[in-house]
Amino acid sequence: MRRRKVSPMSWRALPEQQPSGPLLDVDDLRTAFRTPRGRLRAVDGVSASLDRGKTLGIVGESGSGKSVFVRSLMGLLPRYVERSGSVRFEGAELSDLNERGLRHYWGTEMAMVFQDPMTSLNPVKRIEPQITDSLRHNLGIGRADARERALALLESVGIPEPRRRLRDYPHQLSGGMRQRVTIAMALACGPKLLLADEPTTALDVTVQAQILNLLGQQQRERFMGMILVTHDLAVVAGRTDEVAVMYAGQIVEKAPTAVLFGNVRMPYTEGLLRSIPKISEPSHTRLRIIGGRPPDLVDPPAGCRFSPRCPYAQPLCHTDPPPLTPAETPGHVFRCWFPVGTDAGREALERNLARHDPAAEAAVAGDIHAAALVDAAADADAGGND
Amino acid sequence: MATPEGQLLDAASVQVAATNTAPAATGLRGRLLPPALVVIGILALVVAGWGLRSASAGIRILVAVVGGALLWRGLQVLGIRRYGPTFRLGLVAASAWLALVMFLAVFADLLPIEHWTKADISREALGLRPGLRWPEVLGRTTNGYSELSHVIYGARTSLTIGVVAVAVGVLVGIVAGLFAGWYGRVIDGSITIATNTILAFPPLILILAIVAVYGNTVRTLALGLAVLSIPTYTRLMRAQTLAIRQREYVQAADAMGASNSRLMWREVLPNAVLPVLSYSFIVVAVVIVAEGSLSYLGVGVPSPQPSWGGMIAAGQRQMKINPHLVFVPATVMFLTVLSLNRFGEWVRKRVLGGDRSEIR
Amino acid sequence: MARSIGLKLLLLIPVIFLVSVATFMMTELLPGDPAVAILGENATPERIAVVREQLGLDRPLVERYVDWAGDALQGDFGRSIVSNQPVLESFKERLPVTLQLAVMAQVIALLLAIPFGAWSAWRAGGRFDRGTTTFSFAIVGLPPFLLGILLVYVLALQWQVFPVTGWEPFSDGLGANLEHAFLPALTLGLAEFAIYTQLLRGDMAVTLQEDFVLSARARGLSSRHILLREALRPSSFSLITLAGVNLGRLIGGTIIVEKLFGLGGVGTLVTQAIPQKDFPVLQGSVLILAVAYLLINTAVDVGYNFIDPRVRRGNA
Repeated sequence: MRRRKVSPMSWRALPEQQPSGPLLDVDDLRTAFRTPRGRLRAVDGVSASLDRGKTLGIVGESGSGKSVFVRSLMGLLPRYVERSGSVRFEGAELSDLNERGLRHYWGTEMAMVFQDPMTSLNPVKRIEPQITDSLRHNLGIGRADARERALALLESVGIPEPRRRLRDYPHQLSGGMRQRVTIAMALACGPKLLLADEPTTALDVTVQAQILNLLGQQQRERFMGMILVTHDLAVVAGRTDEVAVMYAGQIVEKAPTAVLFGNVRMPYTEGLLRSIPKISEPSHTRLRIIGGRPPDLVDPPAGCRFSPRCPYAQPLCHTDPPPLTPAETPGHVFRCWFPVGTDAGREALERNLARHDPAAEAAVAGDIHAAALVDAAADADAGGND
Repeated sequence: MATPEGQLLDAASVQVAATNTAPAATGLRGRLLPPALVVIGILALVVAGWGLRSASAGIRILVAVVGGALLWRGLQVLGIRRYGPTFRLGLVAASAWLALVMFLAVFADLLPIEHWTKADISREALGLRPGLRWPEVLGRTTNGYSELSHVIYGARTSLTIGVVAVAVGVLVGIVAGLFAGWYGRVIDGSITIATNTILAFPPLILILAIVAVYGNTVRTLALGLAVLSIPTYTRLMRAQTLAIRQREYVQAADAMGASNSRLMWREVLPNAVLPVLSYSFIVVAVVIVAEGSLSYLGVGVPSPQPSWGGMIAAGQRQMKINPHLVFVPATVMFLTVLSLNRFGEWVRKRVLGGDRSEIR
Repeated sequence: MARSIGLKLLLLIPVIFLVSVATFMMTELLPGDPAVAILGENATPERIAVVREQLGLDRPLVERYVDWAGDALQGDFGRSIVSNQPVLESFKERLPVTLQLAVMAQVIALLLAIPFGAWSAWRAGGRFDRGTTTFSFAIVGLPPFLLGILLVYVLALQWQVFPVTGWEPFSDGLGANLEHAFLPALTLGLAEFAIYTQLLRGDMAVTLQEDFVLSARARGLSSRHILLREALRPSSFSLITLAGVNLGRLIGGTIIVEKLFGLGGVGTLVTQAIPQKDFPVLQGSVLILAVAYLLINTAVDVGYNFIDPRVRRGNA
């Protein structure tokens, strides 16, 4: 058991002490699973960087690879997984460390909050040991001191009657409180980087905002870098500095948040934005739909991976995969041959509408039948591949 | 985790490395390696057996184990190359051993071995170690009997008892289970209570009690051990009967006016019996162990007649000087029980997993 | 739940009754005259008469059973035909040996099973796991007395670490006692160890996939902590149940081990009584052991309902 003696103040690090350079720097990270059907490329060349005190939002649907990505970042993968690429934390290369080496970072430098607080807490252990375990194990703090810190942590995440809660079991707490506890556990040793993997998906809507606010507040107070993973674009609006949209294991658009919402380029992102219902629209407005399903990651489509579902798709898109190209605003990159908001894009869309392409009609008019056609086409493709 | 990615992560965590891989058959090294392993393995075993006489038992055992492992691996790879990826050396070896034992046991009298009553009491013969000579390839006991003969005739006894016990157990148990599952209520209740009564006794105690009352003859042993196996079969058959009663083809036959007994015997029994019977090899193994234990305790197969357990008990006193007296029967017994278990597991898996077609 | 427990306990009664009847009938089922069967063909008529008197063979069957059962309930199982010692006394004299053996076997089995099972689960599919599994299967396929003989040969005869036979009670010193008790307990315990290890490994491999284990890893906790302090408790329900059931099974197992190592336990009492045809001893021992076995199994069966949190917590 490795115990680091760390001075009490360092668990709340001060900005002046940080080294220069980004907190986290990821370059061409790839993660693949060996399945009976072949290599499943869950993360296929993702690069990003994050400074301390900033928040990066990662948005994508199920199967986009976003969860695998953040776990790959930390190195929290199972044993039979192939990973390549570079992950640098404060300049130190993490990708060639084994589990023993990574353990020095886990908990104390970087921490993770998981999606479902019911399953990420040990059901047969009380709350107190679940918080104090890492304090005592990683920081070498004695039992009494650890309990005091646990109390302080519970207070700081907004749990009433913390002394009572320490003795409770997880199933005695509500969902929101459980998630607060997992946040307290993650923050216990004062990490500089916090990864939140869909922290609010399993919670009631009313609680979601509270938890997100709590995360934001803790991040500011502790000057942490935070990565917020979600499938819901609404979550990242206003809470992140930068947003990366992932699709089929790749980043398809990345921009500072305001730029992304105001100046979207990639059709998939546009589709996501459009599918959020807005109060300002009249009632019974048809939602714009993206028909079809995410692609098979063992055998992804040639060309752009979104092309089977894309309203703007042209023959080029089906054959040549587009690279990440910069847009006018600095810090904004996207992956598209016929981007939204450009002449080329508009013409492509009109051409598709003229020939009644189902994906285009689904996206523009919210036509359910058209969307179903796209689904059927996706099924046929999948049948052909099997 | 419910998401597809989550399931992937879960699956990858528990992924067991493929157990039946073989190195590629290409290249000089790939082609030579398995036969080389086989040769080295055999050499190691020979050396352990004859070359290292003077070395301590520990070293000899170590060399033998390593040699055996290499031989095993070599044969396994060769087998996969020859017969395809479903080749399982363990199963093949188990079946071969069982076939050998059964053949020897059945044809014992016709074999060119001494009868077990014949003893060579010349000085060199008493307690002779195993070696490369015939007929005493497995050595002799301190009374001059041929170990080979005693092992073979002992196999005959043990297998006879095992087969008879299981056969009787199967017959009684299946009928009892069928009646219990079919008629239910009182009949089921009383059969269950009777079964639980048998199960209430610790197994060894029960058979000891039976032997105490009826004496230890081969017949008593076989029937007593049959009593031990009846509850297992009864329970299995009862469960199967209960399940099959509900099936549509049974209800259809019933609706067509079939009589109770016809339903039971022609519809339920044929379909229920196969999964139940598939346990039989494993039960035979258990019976052989029980009989061996009894013979070891002195209350099993009666004395002059050879039995594995009895041989072990007799040899135990001189284990330090003449270890072969114990290890020869012990090894044979171990291999037989192991093979029965292995083979029985395969049978079970085949019956339960493969054959889902039912007799209509 | 209370209903099913009550039902199980109720079913106990006819079974215990039948067990006692079966045990009682041991003398009745002897072919021919029980007394002659006991004493042998050459016994004098006087001896036969004495034994017949002792066994009360002249009285009607039911009456004898009621007497016998009544006495048994009070602890009077008669006297040994050979030594004239009350059966219960002989039993009590030898019980500590058997009990110590059984308990030590369980302890050894559990102490070994936890680290082996946990590490096998942690590195599931790896070399340690496969080695342990192969070893477990080999042990399970080995009849207990063969295992004992092998251990005796290696540890006692060749390497001379432990004594071959014999027993030293506590009163003669703990060291000597443990020295003599170790090999027999190990023999008994290894077979249990194999089963426990595989069971724990299976349950733990499932538990290790849970999110809270991933969360513990992500907090930098060591593998030792995760295995022993996080994953062990939720994975041990089946193991605890099986350990309880096995206490009963060990009752039968000690018989062989006692013969192997020359220990004077309850099992020896039974095996010696058989050739001597000492039926009071036999009947008494069999009855006590069978009832104990039955009660232990029923208790474990009932107790499991309380241990399993899914049952206990209801709709948690």
